[in-house]
Amino acid sequence: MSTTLITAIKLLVLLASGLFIIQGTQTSFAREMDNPCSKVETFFARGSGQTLRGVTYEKFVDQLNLRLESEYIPNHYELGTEKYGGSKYKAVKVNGWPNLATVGLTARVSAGEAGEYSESVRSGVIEMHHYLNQRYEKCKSHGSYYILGGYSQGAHVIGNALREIPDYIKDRIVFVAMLGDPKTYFPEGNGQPWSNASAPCSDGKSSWSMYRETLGSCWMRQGSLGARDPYVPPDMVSKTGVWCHSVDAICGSGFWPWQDEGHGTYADPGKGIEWAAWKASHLLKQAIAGKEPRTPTYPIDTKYHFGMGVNGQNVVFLIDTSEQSGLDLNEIRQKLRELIPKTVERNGKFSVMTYTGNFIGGDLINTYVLGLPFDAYPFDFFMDNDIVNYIVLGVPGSPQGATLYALNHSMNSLDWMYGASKSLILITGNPRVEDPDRYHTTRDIVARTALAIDPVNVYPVVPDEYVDEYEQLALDTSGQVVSFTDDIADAMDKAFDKTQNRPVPFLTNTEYLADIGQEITFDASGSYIIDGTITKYEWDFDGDGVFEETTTNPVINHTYTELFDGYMQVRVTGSNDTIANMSAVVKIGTYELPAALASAPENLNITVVESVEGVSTLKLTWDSVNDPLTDKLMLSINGTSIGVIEPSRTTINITDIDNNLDYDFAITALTADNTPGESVYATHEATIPLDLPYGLFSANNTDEPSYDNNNIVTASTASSDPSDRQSQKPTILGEETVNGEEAKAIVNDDSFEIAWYWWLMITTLIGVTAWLQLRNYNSKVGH
Amino acid sequence: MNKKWRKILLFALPPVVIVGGFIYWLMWTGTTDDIEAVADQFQPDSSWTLVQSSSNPPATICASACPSLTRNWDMDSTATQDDIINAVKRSGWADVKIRNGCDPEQVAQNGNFCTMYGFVEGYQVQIIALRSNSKSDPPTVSLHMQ
Repeated sequence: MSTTLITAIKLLVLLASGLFIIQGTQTSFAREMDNPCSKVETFFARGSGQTLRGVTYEKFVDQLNLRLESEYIPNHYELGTEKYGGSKYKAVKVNGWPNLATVGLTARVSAGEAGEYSESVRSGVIEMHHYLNQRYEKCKSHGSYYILGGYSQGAHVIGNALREIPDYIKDRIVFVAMLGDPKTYFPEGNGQPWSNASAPCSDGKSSWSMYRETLGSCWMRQGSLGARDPYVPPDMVSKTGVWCHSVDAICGSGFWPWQDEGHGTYADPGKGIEWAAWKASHLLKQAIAGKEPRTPTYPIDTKYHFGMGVNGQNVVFLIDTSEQSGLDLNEIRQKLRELIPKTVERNGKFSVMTYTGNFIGGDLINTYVLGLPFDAYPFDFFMDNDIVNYIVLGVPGSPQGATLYALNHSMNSLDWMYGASKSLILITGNPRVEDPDRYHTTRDIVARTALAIDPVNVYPVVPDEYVDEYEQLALDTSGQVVSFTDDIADAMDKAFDKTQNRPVPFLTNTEYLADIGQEITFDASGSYIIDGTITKYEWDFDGDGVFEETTTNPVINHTYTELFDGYMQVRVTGSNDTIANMSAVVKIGTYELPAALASAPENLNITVVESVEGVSTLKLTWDSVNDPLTDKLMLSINGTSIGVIEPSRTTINITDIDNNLDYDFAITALTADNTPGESVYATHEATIPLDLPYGLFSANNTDEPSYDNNNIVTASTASSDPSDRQSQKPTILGEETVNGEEAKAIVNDDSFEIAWYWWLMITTLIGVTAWLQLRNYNSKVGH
Repeated sequence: MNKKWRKILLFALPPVVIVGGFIYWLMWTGTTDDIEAVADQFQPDSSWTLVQSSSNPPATICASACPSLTRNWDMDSTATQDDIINAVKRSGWADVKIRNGCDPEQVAQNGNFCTMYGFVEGYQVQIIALRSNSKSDPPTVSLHMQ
């Protein structure tokens, strides 16, 4: 290509750029930073490949605006709108050709820490820090509150950025919504048989992560790019909510990479963003009122009225459609068309299930004619297509005895929302028959299942003659029986009203650990009721359904005299003839004491070994450790773990230290199974402070130490050429490196697991194909 | 072709083809013609200015929603919720209905115009109209389909 042609192209490009700039200045002159300060400021980061003002951002803004009164309408900022700190969030695309191969796979095998994806995340983190800090400085006299939200890659950005946000800004953050985050982490899944498995939905609720909101699968532990551990800084845990919808491989609820349909559903009606906006507005109102967050108060929101629970309500309609039940399905359908919208209007979730009982050859089949989990369809679609019409008469069978099985099975099969009040309206015309031999379910099993799921209150709607048979089942689950003679619709109304107007019990703890003979205080004073007053509290200390104490005082002391590992429950009765209960885990003498912490070394000191053209080498020294529990030491820089050091060492050199920046160093003791123990800290302050009060990040240095986890790598000797430093991370060197030798450091990396997963997938495919071919070939040769 | 090459082809080619096909399938993206054709049915007011249009094609591995489409318009500052409702009516999208919005009190208080939702030819459609942060900027309407 001739020089003239190149020059002409350059001129054209310049001309085009100039036109673009002129065009730009005509339409958008003011910067977002110049917007008037607001009492509430929001920041949202979009997902991979999304354009600005995409559906997730618009929905986030729309939902927050809808939920806040005019004086609190936020000032919204979407990351990537403008350049701050020399950086603008790119939200780089990771799918399709060639992005999947060049960007997506690199991100996947590096746990999001390498390549274009990593740069994109970094660009967002830097922009966010600079915008947030500038905005804070500009608006601090307004006492602004902050709401942060991120979707997919944007959640990755927000999560990384939280590590470096100064405390004075974090104090003003009321909520962080993480939607479909590829770096999700639910530590409750640690130690499960499969590395990617978490505790089942109905188990271990006491140890759920506080930020866990909606999980699309009971069997997930981390996102597709591995876990960010800790997921958010400790002081942000209670202010963060994580939504990971079903079939979303990005955040970890889909196993295969193509199981990702759920990733595009966060902006759908009734899904993650609406919940996040509700929660954010709820916490904001509490913050503005000066109340402690997460304390249930009423009325929360007169427009978006939440009937129950700190997190909404889940209502299940379980309908016996057997012929023997003799119910008028037309009436039931018609009533459901009224009740389901009422549930949704209150931002509740509903599920409709039907059952019969049909045995063929000893196998139970056709138990469910219709089984819709929560959010099976968008509400409008559900109504417009009159899905309740699919409630039809079941095939002839043996329904008696199937009720308990259906109750237990439906409760276990649903993805109940943590923190929501849960009720199941059972509609049947059959008596309750226990047939454990055939159905393997008893009333006791149902009650225990209900108790373990937070709990679920069962409201049987049955003919008058069967009231007695269902009374105990209802009581065991703190529900109530509603009977009918002819008018089943009226009975459904009454049962539904009970679910809406019942009290909300609230225990201060969800887990109680004590020794035998040690007194425990159970405090339910956070319980409340909208329509009436609470008349009594009943206490079942061993979860057997027998309430040993009844009080009008919400606080009670109890001493366990023997070993116990189970649930306790409190049942609260309202003056409007409604009841509800809450359960908590109790471990008496059976809990494991926290393991002793490994001791960290003392006296961590930093000295400058050399400093050339703004780049230094630091020497870290510390006292030797004598604790046998301390198996190794982990070095962290600015909160990011860099590598593991043998415990016998007492010194290490760090090169490539930018004199413009502050560095926080920490050495954490680890046990043999990598359990973190005590830490020792030291800070190296910038010797040439930049005019940037935002810690590590600056426009001309966009590198940060990577977060690694489990492989052995060799840390190479760093270049002393300052021109190279833009592309280098601080490097760990042993004492020997002063003499030019390399040192080995052990570091961790989730990418090994991910790479192994891909490798296994492809080699299995090749292996199976080759085996089939070989078998075919051999058989031909043999014959 | 000698025996050795036949053997190599027999054993090596099928796995290569299968793995290649598998990779192609993973990387596959379709076209946005269909979703854009449905989006073109939307009849915005003549006074609105299209400021952004983007779409994601269907894909085996998807990073957000595939297929999906977003179009944003700036509206006249005097625009009302009726303008949006009328645009939907003109488009013949009878199934796209108001959700959570479009009441005058709400517009006055919160600056939100309208949220509409429904299904058109199998695509989920959301229309969200917002006022911008700076009251001097025009209100905008966004059409999202997936």
